[in-house]
Amino acid sequence: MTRRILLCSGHDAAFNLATEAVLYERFAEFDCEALFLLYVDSPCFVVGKSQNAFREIDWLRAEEEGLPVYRRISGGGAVFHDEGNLNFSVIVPRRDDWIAEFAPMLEPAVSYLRSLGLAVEIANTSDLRLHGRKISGNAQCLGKEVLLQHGTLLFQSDLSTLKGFLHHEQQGLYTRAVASRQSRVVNLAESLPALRFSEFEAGFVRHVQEAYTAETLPLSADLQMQITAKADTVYRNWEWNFGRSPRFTIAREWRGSEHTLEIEKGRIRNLNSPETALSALVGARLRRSELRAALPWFGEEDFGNLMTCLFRPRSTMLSE
Amino acid sequence: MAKQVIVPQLGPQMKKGILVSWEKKAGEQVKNGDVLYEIETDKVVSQVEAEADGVLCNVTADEGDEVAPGTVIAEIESEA
Repeated sequence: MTRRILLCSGHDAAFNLATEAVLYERFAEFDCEALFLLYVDSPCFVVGKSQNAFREIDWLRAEEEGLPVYRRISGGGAVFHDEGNLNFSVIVPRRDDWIAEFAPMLEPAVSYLRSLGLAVEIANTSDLRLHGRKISGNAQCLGKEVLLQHGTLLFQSDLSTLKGFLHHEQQGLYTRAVASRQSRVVNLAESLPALRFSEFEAGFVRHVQEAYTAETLPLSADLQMQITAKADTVYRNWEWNFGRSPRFTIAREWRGSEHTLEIEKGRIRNLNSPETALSALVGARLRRSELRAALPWFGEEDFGNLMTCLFRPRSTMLSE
Repeated sequence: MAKQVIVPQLGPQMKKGILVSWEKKAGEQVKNGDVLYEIETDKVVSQVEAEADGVLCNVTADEGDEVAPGTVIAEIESEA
């Protein structure tokens, strides 16, 4: 049985996430015991499969700044991807003795980082740490026959963006979705000042090719077509990225009175407000343009205030 | 005959999981081996299969619920 590796050449997160999903779904066709996938994404946020994207990310600000949000098929918490972060996935046949195990799939990353002289260790089952700080978070998707493990490797990621948009307090937002766990993170580049990201990435590919005798997986025209279609219909689709968030409730004060919104599939299903004009919001999706279109008679400033009160993270709002 | 749908112990550490989604609805015919629901525990989304043929019924756990291993969350009613 062979092992195979694929390095995605582009930085389009929708395409790369679709590649990961399609390789997972079609793993049996490749006739191999392990498939390694490496990719780098343009700046974006990625939430775990069962998360509430509205809870995890300051989505209004992300929308304003043109930072897209995607939902992946593996579990776990929200992360920020950019050109300083290397994504590393391993796809293997399901093994019942590997249930809830991350170490076997982390081995390529651990052995590569140690070969660079870094004393990395596994912590919390699914993280990699260097000197006590997290450099990699990992999550899995376990199907009937196949296991996918995806991880990030922070090399020189923009940690301030990560902190600015993620892990906020969300007072008055009630959801039962899987919550993210906040960790102290650090970039590997701090310990590898002479190495450029491209060298770090190429070194990882070489390591997997040599240590695991992994051959390059050719992307057939048929695979490429399916990946492109999935990127468009799933990963560029708001209904998957945001709409799949479990239903939740927002209860916040605006102009001195309590407003309660019930959100289902990312749409306002119900709204309790003393201001009857706001009932025009019912049915709208939580996207700035759609909410704006529902309230055309609002002045720009009033509308901005309403959005901030209802949807921006509470702790950020108080500190501004 | 009804076969209980019991939340499995997914790894020694598992104390509870979040029922992510039902892939089959109550009243629907299911086959042994069909993916019945998805559950998330400690960063792992797992697909859980039906262990009998029959009709899914008596669903007691909702999407978003926390469920512990050993909990009965539905039944599969077979005709035999």
